[in-house]
Amino acid sequence: MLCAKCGKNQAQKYVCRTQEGEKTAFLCPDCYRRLYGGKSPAGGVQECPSCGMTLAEFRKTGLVGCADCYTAFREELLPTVKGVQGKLRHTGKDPVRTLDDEKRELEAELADARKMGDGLMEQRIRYRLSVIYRLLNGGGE
Amino acid sequence: MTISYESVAVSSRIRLARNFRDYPFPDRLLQTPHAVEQASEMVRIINAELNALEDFELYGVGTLTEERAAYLVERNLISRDLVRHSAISAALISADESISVMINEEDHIREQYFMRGYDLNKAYERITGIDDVISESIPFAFDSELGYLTACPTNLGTGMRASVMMFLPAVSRRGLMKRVAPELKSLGLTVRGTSGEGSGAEGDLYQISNEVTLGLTETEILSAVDNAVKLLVEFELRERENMKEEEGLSLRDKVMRAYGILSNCCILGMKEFMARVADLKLGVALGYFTSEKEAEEMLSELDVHITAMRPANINRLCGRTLTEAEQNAYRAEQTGKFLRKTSIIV
Repeated sequence: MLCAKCGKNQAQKYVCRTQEGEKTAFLCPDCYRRLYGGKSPAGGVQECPSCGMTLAEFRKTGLVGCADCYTAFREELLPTVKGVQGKLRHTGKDPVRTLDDEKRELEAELADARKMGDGLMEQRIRYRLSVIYRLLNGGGE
Repeated sequence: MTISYESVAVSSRIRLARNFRDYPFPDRLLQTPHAVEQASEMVRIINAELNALEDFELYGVGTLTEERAAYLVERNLISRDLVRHSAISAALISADESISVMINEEDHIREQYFMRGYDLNKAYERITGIDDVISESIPFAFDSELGYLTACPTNLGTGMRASVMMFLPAVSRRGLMKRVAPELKSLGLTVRGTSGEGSGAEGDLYQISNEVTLGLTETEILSAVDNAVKLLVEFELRERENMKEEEGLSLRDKVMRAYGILSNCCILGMKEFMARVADLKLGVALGYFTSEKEAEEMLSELDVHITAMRPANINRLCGRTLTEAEQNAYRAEQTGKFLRKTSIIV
């Protein structure tokens, strides 16, 4: 599902505190931060948009469901990582195939998907790109 | 490398944990309807890359039976956890058994280099080369802050575990392991007995490895493990001399009894076998035996024999599944033959 605000990025399910009480909203993390000032949602992110894992499941098994769980639950996972590892900054080797390589490939695929009018594929690529832009720039496109 | 060093640091292993960006991690993947197809696709890609480099034997998805897996576990080529996901797991093993790549264990890819003797730098160089080749064709799950993303946060960052198997009979039998473990912990390292965590360890064998994987470079991790191994080797050698001096004839008697039993017994269970061979190895390392061969070679042959005498390896050698009693008889017979052949002269 795409973000209800920007309509561009993949949405996550948030439970937000408003003057009227709590309400469920489907927003991307960037729009959520803009609208709610970066405060943690009342119920936290409900589940990973990619694999459906919940935080309760992580607490039970100690394992995350997919790479995107680290984006979806970053705030919640970082204290655990810090507790286990002591540090939060990778200083070791990088993959031969970098995020920049992947970004270039996905942008080309996105152009193809647009030409072909493949909406589903376009949505999937947009979501992957939004994650990559965040990882590369720490923010928007 | 001196004989003393090799008589303590028995084998070296480097393991790198990696994941595909776009697939759920194995535990989650198993819950999806197309798990087997996706796993087969992963295996196909990795198999093609590795076999373009050198010959790898593929133990494919759905074909990793418990018996075959047990054989590979005993040879340090795969972990027991790989069998937990047997519907989607596979392994690729190089012809010389030095490189193994497990697919869909806890992570999608576990690349491992294993070698007898002690050379962590060589082990790392070999496995990082394999990693680079795989990385060219697979978009790894990677985050500039957290490094390689893994199913368990304990493996984030480098995804690297550098471990050394150490034969520590003197330190262990003199009750000094309880001093070693906290020292290692303070250096970001950990020690495990090979038969699990606890006071004793099968065959006086202990595995030293790094605990922290994030926030250090691979070189820093190798250096931390290397420093600890060197200190432990010196400690063990010192304690062996102290043991020899303090226990004198009774220690020699213990070693010779082990030699006598291993050479002549008719039934040999795994537990007794490991304990007696540890006594014998200690005797070889202390210079109680003269031999046409170098003691280093003798110790290495004993380690190979230990692996061959584990249950699933015996079954494989015999071409059928033996009962425990049959295995014990076979182990006794083969160990007697082995010792008569290896020209230990008492």
